[in-house]
Amino acid sequence: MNPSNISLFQHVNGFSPADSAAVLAVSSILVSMAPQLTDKFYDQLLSHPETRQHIDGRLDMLKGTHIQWMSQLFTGPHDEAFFARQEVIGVVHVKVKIPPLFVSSSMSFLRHEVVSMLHTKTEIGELSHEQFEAASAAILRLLDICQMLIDTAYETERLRLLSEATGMKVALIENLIALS
Amino acid sequence: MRADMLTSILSELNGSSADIEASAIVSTDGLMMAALLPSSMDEDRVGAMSAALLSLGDRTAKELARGGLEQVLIKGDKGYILMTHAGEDAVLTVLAKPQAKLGLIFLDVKRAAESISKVI
Repeated sequence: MNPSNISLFQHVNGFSPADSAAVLAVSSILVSMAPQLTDKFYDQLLSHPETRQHIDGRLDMLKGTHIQWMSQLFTGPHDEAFFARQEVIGVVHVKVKIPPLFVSSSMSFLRHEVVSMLHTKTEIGELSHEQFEAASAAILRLLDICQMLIDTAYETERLRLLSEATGMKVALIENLIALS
Repeated sequence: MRADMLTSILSELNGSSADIEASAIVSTDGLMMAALLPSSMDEDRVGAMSAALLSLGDRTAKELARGGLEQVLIKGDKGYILMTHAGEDAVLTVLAKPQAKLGLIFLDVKRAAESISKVI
């Protein structure tokens, strides 16, 4: 994606260097939460037959990848290379035919669970209330950026596939969409 | 200059048969390059739909082993829509009356497409 589009998104959603710092300030706690968060996430996916079929036989590998992704999310740096990796993740999801619905519902689950876990850490005194507030808001913004990049990769790839199947140029498909 | 030349080709084509009601030249991206269409027709829609149909026709002919596409013909109860390539980067779309003698129109359209490809 054009870096200016990421900047625009960040401008509107409010993710700033202060947000990145707020995440990094509690990164050790966040990274320690990653395995448990990942287990809960995959338990949730395994509990539905449609999402389970994308996981069967690959659970350990997927969990490892997920923990690695979360660790990068929590330790940064949240720079261009980080955002470029999120786009690649989107392309990979499209290539292995993970439905977009699964990505958006998974992101929704993670948003809730991360904040819930951080809240628990605050209740037991591992985080101050201010740290909780700052880190929660920052991670929610960060996850929104990740989802936007993954969604964009889906849209781009789906347009490419439609173009390939129909012979229509992507510009023509865009023009057809603009008619409605 | 080029637009004038293209419009002139369309004008000649439309005048070649009383059965031809309108015509247009569209880029393969679906953008209108020149048109002699009734004012009631939306040029953007005609452009995008013509290019899309010709692309699909191309792909279908290839998939179903019909060779290189020559034309796409649509017949409605109020007449025909004929689309053909005009060079590699343009589409010629022609609207004709329901009782049109297609053989003659095919010849005129082929000639016009060749002229257009030389201009583009």
